[in-house]
Amino acid sequence: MDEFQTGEETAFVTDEVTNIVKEAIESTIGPNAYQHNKVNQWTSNVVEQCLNQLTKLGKPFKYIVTCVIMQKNGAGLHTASSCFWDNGTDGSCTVRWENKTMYCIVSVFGLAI
Amino acid sequence: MTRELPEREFLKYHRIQEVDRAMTGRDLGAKVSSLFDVVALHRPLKNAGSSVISYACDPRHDEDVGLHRAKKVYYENTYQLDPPSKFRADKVRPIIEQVLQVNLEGMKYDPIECSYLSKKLSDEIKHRVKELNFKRYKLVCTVTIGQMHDQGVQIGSRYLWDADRDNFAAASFHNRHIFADGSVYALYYE
Repeated sequence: MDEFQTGEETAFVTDEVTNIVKEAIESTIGPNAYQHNKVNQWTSNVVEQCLNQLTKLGKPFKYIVTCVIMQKNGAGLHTASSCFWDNGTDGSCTVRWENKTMYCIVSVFGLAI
Repeated sequence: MTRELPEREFLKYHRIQEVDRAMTGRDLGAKVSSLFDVVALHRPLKNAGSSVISYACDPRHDEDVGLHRAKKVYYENTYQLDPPSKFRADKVRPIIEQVLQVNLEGMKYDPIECSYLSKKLSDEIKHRVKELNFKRYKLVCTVTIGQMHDQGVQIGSRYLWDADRDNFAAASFHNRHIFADGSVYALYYE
């Protein structure tokens, strides 16, 4: 029997994922200022909401979502990733977002099953 | 400088320069970086709010894209449902700890050095974990290096995966100037 899912439907579409992530960040953090006791909640919410939306895409992927929130005070931050996977099917996307008081960096990795 | 050269030498010099430019697309002696910056190459670093994405290897250079597109291979059934050896977080964690410790011990914060190191270390961790030879696992390694500046940082991650087979290992390191976090995620595939 042939597989009915082809191309677009099963591929990792970076633009689509970027939008999901941006929306998640905007709706959780938005214009809020950095608050130490809220950050834990925010990271959880951002990641959770991303995963929720990604699940709704209904694609045959496993997802890893990581989120870094850092207070803005002039300090530097570098993040890098290195993967061992199938270039043809798997993909990643990183969104950098900032407001006046903090940086938020979200990376999504999608690995085909 | 070129004016003092005899005419023949002058022509030769120019010829070399032209050939070089045609081959590399740059002027002779122009600065070359081994890292492929996606954003403008010579972007000045600002003291706040500047960020650059770069790749340790050129992402467009794939073996299976373009003329030599790999043919889809159909395998016979293996009737194996589980990995021959499970991903062992307890074996991977010491590797991350060691790599971070060895490379970052006594380091001071330097934006260019740290940017390079984060890429190098994530690659090194990936290679070390690959040597453990967990079959049927895809790996994602991330390294985050940041400056200690009295700020708050929160790093978190969640997954949508098979909790029985997939796993992760994480370790962190810090000294007076920098902090670093390394994570390895292993995802089972058939």
